[in-house]
Amino acid sequence: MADRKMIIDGVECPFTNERNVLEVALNNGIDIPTLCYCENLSIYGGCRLCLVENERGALDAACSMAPKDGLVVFTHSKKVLDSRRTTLQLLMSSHRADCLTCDMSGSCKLQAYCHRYGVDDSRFENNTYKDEPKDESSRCIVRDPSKCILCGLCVRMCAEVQNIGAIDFAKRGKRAYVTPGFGMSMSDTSCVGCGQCAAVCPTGAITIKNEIPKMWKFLQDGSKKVVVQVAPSVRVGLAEQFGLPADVPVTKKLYTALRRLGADVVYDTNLTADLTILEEAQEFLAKVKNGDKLPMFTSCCPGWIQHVEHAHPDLMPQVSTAGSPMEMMGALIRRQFKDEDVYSVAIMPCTAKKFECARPELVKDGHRLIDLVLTTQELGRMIKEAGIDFANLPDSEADSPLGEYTGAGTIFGITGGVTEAVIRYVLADSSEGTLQTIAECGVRGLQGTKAFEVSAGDLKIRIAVVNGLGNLDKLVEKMNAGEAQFDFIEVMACPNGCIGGGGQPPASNKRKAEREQGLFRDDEACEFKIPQDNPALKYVYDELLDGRAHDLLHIHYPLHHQH
Amino acid sequence: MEKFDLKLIDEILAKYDCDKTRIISIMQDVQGVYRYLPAEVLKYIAEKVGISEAKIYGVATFYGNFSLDAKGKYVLKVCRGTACHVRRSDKILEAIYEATGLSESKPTTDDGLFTIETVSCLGACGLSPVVMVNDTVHPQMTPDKARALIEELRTKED
Repeated sequence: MADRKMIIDGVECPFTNERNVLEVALNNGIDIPTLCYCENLSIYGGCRLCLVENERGALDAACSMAPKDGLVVFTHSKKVLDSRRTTLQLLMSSHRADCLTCDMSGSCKLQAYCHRYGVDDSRFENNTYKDEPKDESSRCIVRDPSKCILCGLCVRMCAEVQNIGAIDFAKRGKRAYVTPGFGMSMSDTSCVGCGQCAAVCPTGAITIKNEIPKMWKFLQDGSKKVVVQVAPSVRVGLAEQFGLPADVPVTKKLYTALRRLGADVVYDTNLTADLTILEEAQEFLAKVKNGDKLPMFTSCCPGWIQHVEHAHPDLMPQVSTAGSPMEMMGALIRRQFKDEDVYSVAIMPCTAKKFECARPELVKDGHRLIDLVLTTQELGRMIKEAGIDFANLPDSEADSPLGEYTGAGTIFGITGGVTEAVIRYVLADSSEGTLQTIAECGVRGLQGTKAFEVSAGDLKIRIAVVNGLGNLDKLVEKMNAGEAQFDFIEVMACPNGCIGGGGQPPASNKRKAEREQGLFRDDEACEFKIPQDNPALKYVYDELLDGRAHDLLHIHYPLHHQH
Repeated sequence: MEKFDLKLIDEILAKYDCDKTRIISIMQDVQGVYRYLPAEVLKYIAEKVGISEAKIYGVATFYGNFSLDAKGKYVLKVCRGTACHVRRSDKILEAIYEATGLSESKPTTDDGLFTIETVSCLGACGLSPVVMVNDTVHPQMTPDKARALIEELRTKED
């Protein structure tokens, strides 16, 4: 089967198991434009931009055409190019093109294609876009129907990958639009704020809630210090925006960039990732000892927490009360600057963190633990806005005492990373052999669901690692049917974990795999591999927390109390 | 939800095995009961058959035959098909709108008595122009007959 070939633009293109002609072309270095296709979603065939011409002169959508041995297609014939231009002109005729100020300007696919195919919007009168108000009710994303091209990527992402279906098409024909049901706004729906819809949106119809102006205000307000923390996967996501490889972490340039922007103190969320492991693993071992109901679910993903609240309220007692690394760092910052009011800012790969930071549960001692969450994308834009030549920045270190981290903390950004860190903690052995065994136990890999077993002494732990809420729902269904049993389940709402977070620059699967390698590389470079070896933790527990670890580092959501 | 008899809806759901692929039949039966699709009932159905609220809203708004708004006691369907059109059904519609004070953007009277709809063809072209009141066909209408019909229905209520 390996020698099957089709002929694209006169070039022999071998293929194996590609789903369609579009994928064959992409894999052979031919970029066919498309606005409604995503490698991780079902095929829709709605945008008509990927039309190719066959030998008989007929046009057909490459995304909906099965590859066949000997099939001949042309991707840039006159007919194809004319059709592409007309399609783009028609799309532009119902698109509010405020490209100068649009948040997506520069990364908008529609804009890029219009430029590539020389399209202006002068052919059809532009008067039919949906002049509906923006929906800014969500803390995580903004919906602007006037820029929607009805590609349905957001709808499919929300339904197929996340199994939520917060938005869908309503009405039909020229009246069709994407909306939550029954005229609701986003904040009334079961949206968890994962931002994956914004990540796949080819235009500015769904964007990340832009809080850059607020950050500038903090930085320019000289009366308070700005204390910034950076999440694990930001160091492999930010590279995207500066044309750098994703498999080399940019951690130390990132610290420098934050200082150049005006941050007074730069801490690393990786340290509290170590701390989360300590708290979470101890909680797990205590549950095992006490014979509490298992599995225990991880708690660091705010999208998952909201999904529990909307869809699985009965599972909340089994969700760890250990706060997310962001929450814990927020708590430590407030303790570190006890006598000083500071702005506490978190740079996250995540849009749902914007919701998390505003939750009432994240107020301790009368203070919000985090004042502002900026996504990787927003930080990238700020660095550009400040005119900083990121690629050539000198390295610097995070500030003491909350900047040190172990390899266990940094792999939090990958699906399975939290679990691997927990296993490292439980086995408490940092010899190369043990680390190797852990890495090979089944915990690694970017697939949606992984199940495996780990032995620690007499203890056998049945583990599942899930990313994508749809995969989680399927797993819960299986568990409820008695077909699967686990002791520990890690859940990340976004596909591939935080490296694929909704706040990261959108990336292909290949690029996300590079980000994964980047974090493993960061792990290798760390002096310490197991969380309990982090030298800063002694200071954290003895000096900062001073007996208040449980009170400050654990979060009880309303449903924790109810049960 | 108190307003709606859930037992009735459960019966409809059971009739179709709570099958999401038969959602249109379920919705038609529900509309058969209430003459429209109450939002609360749709949300209940969505949960029961396992689809999202946004999806059932999408289905309800896709088909012109489904209505999300409560309808009047008397639903008048004025046929605007070709045969009725050439026999001046536009004048009939005009007369009915005038007599009821309704319009295309406000199809139902505040007292809940009348709803005026237009339909593309009732399949009774031989009787054109045609108006239907609920399930009764009124053939060979004129603007005068239409006004009289509205008056008659109104008096019946008093």
